Amino acid sequence: MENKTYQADVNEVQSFLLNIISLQMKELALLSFKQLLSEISTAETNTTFYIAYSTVWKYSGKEKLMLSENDLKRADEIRKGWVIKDWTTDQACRALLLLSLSNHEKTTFVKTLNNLAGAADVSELVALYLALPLLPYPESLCDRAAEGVRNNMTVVYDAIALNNPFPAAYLNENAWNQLVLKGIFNNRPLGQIVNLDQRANEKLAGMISSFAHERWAAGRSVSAEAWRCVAPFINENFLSDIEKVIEHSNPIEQKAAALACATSSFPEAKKLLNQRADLKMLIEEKQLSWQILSEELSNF
Amino acid sequence: MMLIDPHIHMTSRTTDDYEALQKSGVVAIIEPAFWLGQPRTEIGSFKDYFNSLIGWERFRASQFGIKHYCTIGLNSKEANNEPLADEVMEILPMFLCKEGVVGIGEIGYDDMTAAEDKYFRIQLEMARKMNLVVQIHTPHRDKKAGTIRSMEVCMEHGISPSMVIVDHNNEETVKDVLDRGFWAAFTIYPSTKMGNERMVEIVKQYGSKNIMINSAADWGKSDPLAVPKTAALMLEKGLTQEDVRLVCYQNALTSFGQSGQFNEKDWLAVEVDQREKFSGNSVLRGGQAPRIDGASNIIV
Repeated sequence: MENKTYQADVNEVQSFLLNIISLQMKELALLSFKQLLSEISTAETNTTFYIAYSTVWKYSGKEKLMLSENDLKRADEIRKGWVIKDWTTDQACRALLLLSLSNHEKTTFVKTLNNLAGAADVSELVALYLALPLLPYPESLCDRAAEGVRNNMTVVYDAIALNNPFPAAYLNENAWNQLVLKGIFNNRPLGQIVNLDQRANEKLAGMISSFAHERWAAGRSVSAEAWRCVAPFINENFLSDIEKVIEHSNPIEQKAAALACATSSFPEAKKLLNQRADLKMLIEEKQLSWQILSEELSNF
Repeated sequence: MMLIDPHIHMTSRTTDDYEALQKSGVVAIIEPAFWLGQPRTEIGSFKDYFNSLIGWERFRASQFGIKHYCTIGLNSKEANNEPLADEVMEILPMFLCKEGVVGIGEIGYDDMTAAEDKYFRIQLEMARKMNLVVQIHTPHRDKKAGTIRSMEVCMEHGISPSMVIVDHNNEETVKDVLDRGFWAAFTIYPSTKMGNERMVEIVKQYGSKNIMINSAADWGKSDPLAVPKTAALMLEKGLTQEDVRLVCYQNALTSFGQSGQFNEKDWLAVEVDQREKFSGNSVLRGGQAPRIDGASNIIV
């Protein structure tokens, strides 16, 4: 018997999702969808699965899931870090279809996922990456996740990188750093990357600093949130970057630099923050945090 | 005025073309699968091409506020490589059931060989079973006979003429196509297919019922703005707004809309997104005349 790893209790996820879609799908469609799930879980070949995965939107609809506060909490209990708030009915159904394969052996399961991704349209890819934190054999899905980051469709990147607990939990440092850098490069809202602070590392900080130098040399700007990943590693090398950012004409950049200083334990950074009593006070009064800055940037 | 180009090979075009299409009022396009100028030798090349039509190209178009749809099929030229064509037949159903695949196309005859006939018929059977719209490429040589034969073969396979768009018509073929109840599409393509002054005369003579135009712009010397230019020319030459709306928008929508996957609301929603995405750019609204930069709208 091979050792099987789960990220979440498959039964719990299934009954949770089924419960939610049952409020939004027509009774007949739901009934035949459930029938399909049980057929797929025992089928010899995957043909039915592939077709169902492509065509499910025709009967599931593509409405946003109607979720209560309690549902959102429940999702996080079932899978720590699972953010379901922006999911749609077809995405929930596609996750259920993927989970109906969870009794497959590791190699078969991974192969099926690769085949699926090898002939998937944009929405199918998005749904696959959204479901990643719910699937079995997570350590075997890292290449798939890295591939999702590597692709150039913003919606697909967002599905794997934002509000998704999988990357922080399973990607190695190199793949993780690429995910964050790509987010900065494409101006994605970094605040939505799960466990961004926990996975901060000095190598990434260095990459961000050198990226910023390139951008500045070209007269371009750098996402203010990027400094969040540099903050814990501020030393004499990174201090000059932060000094530059705190003097930027854009108040959001100044705020980011102040937050970086507040996060850092480097004495020179503390000194720099003391020179901006206004921002220091905002931080102390909890009117400024990385979270608040992130929201401010998204509304910008 | 909102416009549709129901036959354009964007894979071969640049982002400048997307920008120009968007500016001149094109809201949706259909990209038929065709040959790439160079015959493919491996099944993987077909698979990756079909993938790019439902993935990357769809995303690329969305960045310019244009809704991208496609038809998937084996073109007539490459039907002559029978071993490869057999492999393509195996993977086609997997792509035909994808979202945004509005039909099977472009299929039909080139040299009118036995192999072309064989795969044309196999694909018509797929269309019939899956209730798909058919987009027919009519041959460059021996066009009239090829056009008539294409329609007869469709009838033989029990496909309703209302589900078939016969493409690349000219003065010699249009009457036969309309008399038989098929949709007649015209390709405005410099030097080899239709010029748009001739197109104006055709609409004057045959009316606007069941007639549509496209650019079929590809890797050759073609004009991606053929639809907006011809729309402008039609208005200039005294055709009514309603005629132009039918020929350059509504007939494409009605015919391909039979797939259930080509709905006006898809791009009416895009217009809103577009204002967010391209803040500061003007977006054409209903009733406005298409605006084309450049000296002349005439394509000969």
